[in-house]
Amino acid sequence: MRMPLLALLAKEPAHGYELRGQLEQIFGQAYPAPNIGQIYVTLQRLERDGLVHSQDVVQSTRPNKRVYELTDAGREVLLRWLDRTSDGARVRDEFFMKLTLGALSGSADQLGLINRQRRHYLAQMRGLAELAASADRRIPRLLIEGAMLHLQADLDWLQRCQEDLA
Amino acid sequence: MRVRAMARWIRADLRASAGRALAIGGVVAGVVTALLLSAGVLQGATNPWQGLFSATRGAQVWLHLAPGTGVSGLRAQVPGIEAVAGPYAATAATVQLAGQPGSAGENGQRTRVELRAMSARLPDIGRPLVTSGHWLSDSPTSGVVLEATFAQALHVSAGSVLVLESVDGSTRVRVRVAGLAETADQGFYPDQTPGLIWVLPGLLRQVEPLAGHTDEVVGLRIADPAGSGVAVQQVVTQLGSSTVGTVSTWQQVEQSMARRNPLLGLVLALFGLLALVAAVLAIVNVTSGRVLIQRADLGMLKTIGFTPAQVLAMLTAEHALLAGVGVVAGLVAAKLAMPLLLGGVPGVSMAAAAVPAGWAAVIIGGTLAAVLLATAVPAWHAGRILPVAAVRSAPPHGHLSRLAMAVMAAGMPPAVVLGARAAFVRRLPAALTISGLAIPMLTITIGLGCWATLDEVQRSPADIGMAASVTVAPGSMTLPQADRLIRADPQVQAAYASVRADALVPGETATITTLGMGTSARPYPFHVVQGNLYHAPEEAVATQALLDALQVHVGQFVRMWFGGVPVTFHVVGRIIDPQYGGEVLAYGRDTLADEGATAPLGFYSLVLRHGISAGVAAARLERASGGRVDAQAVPDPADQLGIVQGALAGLIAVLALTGLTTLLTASLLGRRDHQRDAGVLAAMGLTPLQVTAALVLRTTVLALLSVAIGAGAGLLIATRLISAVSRLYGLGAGIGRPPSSVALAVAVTAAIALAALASAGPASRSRDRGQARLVTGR
Amino acid sequence: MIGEHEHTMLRACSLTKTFTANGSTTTAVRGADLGLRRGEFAVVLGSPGSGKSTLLHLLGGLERPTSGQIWLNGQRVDGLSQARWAVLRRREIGFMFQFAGLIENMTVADNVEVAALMGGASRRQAAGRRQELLTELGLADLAGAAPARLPVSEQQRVALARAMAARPALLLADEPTGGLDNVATLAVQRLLARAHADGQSILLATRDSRVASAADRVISLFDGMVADDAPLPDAPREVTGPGRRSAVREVLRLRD
Repeated sequence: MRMPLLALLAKEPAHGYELRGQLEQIFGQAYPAPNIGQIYVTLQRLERDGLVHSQDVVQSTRPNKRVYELTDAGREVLLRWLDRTSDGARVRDEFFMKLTLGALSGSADQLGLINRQRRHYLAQMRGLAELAASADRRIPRLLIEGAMLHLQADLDWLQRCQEDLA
Repeated sequence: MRVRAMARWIRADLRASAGRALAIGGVVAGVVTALLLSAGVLQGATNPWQGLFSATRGAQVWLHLAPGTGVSGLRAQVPGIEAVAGPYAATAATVQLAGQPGSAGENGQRTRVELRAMSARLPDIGRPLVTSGHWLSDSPTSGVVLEATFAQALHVSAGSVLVLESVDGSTRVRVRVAGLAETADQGFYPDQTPGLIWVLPGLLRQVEPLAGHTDEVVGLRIADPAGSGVAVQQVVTQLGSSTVGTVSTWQQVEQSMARRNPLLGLVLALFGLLALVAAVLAIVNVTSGRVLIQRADLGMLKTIGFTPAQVLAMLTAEHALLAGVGVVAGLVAAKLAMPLLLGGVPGVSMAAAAVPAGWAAVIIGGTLAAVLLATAVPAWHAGRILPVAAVRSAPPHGHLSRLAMAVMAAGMPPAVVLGARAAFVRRLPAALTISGLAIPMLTITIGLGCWATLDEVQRSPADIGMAASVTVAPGSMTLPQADRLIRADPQVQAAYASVRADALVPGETATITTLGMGTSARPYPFHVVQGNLYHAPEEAVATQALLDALQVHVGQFVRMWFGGVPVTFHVVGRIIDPQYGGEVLAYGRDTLADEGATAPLGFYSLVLRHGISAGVAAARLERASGGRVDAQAVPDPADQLGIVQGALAGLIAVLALTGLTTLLTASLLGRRDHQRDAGVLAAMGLTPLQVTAALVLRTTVLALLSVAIGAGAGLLIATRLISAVSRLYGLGAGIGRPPSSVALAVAVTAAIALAALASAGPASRSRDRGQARLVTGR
Repeated sequence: MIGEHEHTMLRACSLTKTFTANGSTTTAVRGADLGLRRGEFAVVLGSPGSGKSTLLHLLGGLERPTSGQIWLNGQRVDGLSQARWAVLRRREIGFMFQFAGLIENMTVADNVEVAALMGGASRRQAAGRRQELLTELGLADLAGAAPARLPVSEQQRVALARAMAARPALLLADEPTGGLDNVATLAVQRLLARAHADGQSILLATRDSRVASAADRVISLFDGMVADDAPLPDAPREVTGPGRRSAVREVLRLRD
């Protein structure tokens, strides 16, 4: 959660509650917003590493709030992160383990595993499709469609596994 | 609802492929027109009676009765009589052409006629059919109406002036010819004499005042035409045999009218049938082509629930509809074309050429049946197309033959090789296209051969033995007088004194006609097609028909008897002469004299100078002789040949249309098959021009092959066929001419050029679409 | 699943189809068993060449099986003549091909209406049905167009409208969304979902898992054989056990 917070602070200084609200607003359901405690813990760690610094702002009617601001070191870390290419999603490790090891141990039927997994993926796809139908914001919809394409790839890969078994 | 679905599809299909619909309708219309015209000409030329009979609402039986015979009760007394025409007063008289006004008077030949009194109002039964001028009128200057063939023999027309004279010569009346009319009451003049003139009753009494010299003529329309003999017997019994003069039945009239030479109609009918065959092939082509092209659509129809029977019914209904429209168009076209074709041809009138309803029904029914038959097989195939054809198209496949590879490796442009090869990838359509083109081409070639033959006949009638166009019988002149008269005429190029003698051949029951034409020193210029002309006494030439009848060949001897005098002829040559039923033996006149046989009748055969009309020359000679010689124009075969040429032109057009239809189908099919190929060829690096060339070649190769087959076979057949037909008529072989090389070259070039043109449009279109398809993957 | 009771719409036993071409034989479908209840929506999943299209063709009577039996509404139909199958396809079976499959010389409207007319509709009903379907698929403006001139995605939708024109008891559709863009796919999905909600029995061959995910049941075809045939579990979103996140949200969870 470090990088999203750094990225938000790069825009303007903010306090914990504001950051949480912004995260929720941008990502919607796709990125279940962490609780406020987690955010403060992360911010404290960032401050400890010298990437942000904070100061208390006095408020007249409410308790004081702590506003965080990006340091030069923090900006450098953020830029380096943005500059780095990202790795793609990996094969679902758990299912692959089941497929190979289950057969090895003789306790599972590979075709059965594949079929069950396919139905599971399809069920997920249905859920995503319903979600997509109700998604009205651009960023969440892109995320859902990305997930659907990944699912399609997983289904295709299942097909490939099946062909390999045959 | 399903019918509505079918109708919807048919409508959409007709709209989508109007060209194909037009082609089918046009071919059907063309064939129907051709067949109806052939039938009309055949009918008019061979059996004009039927047409005349119905046009004039004729009576089947005509009786000449003694004056005063009561016929009013006849209908009630004799069963089976539907109607009675007349009684009309009739009397014998003579007629002659009136002299020029102011000249010495009438001194022409008198010809016996029957005057028949009719009123100004045409009767319901046996109403003469006026062909020129007008019918009798109540005015005192009404004039008379002549039977058309009689008028033709007298060389008179409406407006001519005649002199009618009573048999005893006591009364003479000048009358004007008001009009000419045809009738089915009696045969054509001069087969039927005397000639017939219709007059008003007043005029009849004026010419022949004696009531005792006047007959009563009645016509009977009977219920059972086949039983006319029975009807006549009953009438005679009823009226008393003494009162009945002459009786004629429709069978006699029909027989007398029937021409001996139906050659022309027969040729046309033959071509009409060939055109029908070509049309059937064209329609088979169009239909099977469309079934191939529309495989996917037809499969789709099956998918949405059309049964095989419904698909069959739908295609058949669509084609029946087109054929029906074509038939109607053909009927109209034939109606319009008939007067053009027959106009101005003597002896063949519109009424005579009317196609009997039965024939028309057979032609229409036959054409419809042929179209449906041609549709049935492809439509049945269409019905059997599996629904999956909607998606699983079976593109034609094949492999490049070694020959093709070798030719391509040898440097032949790939476009040529690929195009030529593609032509035969679909075997059945290729075969259909070839036959669909070769048969019209074959027929066209034969047609051109006929045309060339007719041209030859018209240009130089001598070639078919018709050197002389006028014959002159001395009549009341002596031979030397006639000789002088003829020699004095500047229009005569040559005259040959001739005799006609009947001879008896041992073993033959009937006599044969022999002609002593000119002398062996100066023989008549027969057209000899085999051997030589006679140049010595006792040499003779004969027509094929006579050789066949006598069972001799050129070079053999034949012995015959002339009134007890035996003469042996050496047949040295074969000639063509359509006269005397085609059975002619000719020799030098001197032969008979040498042998001591009598030469009973002399006449002159005149060869006229070029461009002189036989009719005019004959009339002039008669006038010059003061009517003492009888000059007859030899019937000019060219008169009727004009019709044949006109009809041939029409038939060639119909055949060309069928060929074109086949071509268009082939090119459409090619375009369909090669839409994808076009893209691939282009991708392989052929230029657009080369791609088009390959696709054009696909159709053109087939056209080339068909034209070669058709024209080749046509050339082989044409002269033989014409000779075989003419042999049937006793003209013998040798009359047939091959098609003129120019005409044939034009036909062949046109066919190939049309093939290239017909495929060029679709080819360039498919080139573009092919590339598009390749890109979109469809 | 394959029970012969009154709720069975379609049932196939040991269906096999072998093609022979140029001396070599290919077996496209080998011994497939499957069933479809009335009102059920099932998909046939499989990679290209797995025999999906052929299976659908067999079930629609477009091709004759080499062996095996087919029951439609409890009636044995595999041996029916072409004509009898054609009659079945008028009302009982609406068939949609993978590649458009429209009658080229008829307009879009004619294509749909003729199918309705074949199904026994009156002219007015047919026109109404055409209007309704084309509007739903966003093609109302194309009624007078010639199919060949349309882009593939539009032809595809017209073909679906055509297949559904006669309100068939069973819709057999082969890749109805193949070649469609996102919006068109959604329109097709909506139409299918609505028809399914109205009780339409649907058997659909597809490779599009999004379309497949709407089905009640998945039949997985592999090399001409049925590898799997089972109902699709409900979306696991609702299956939230203790300490376990919704599977769907799990898929969506962004990790950093």
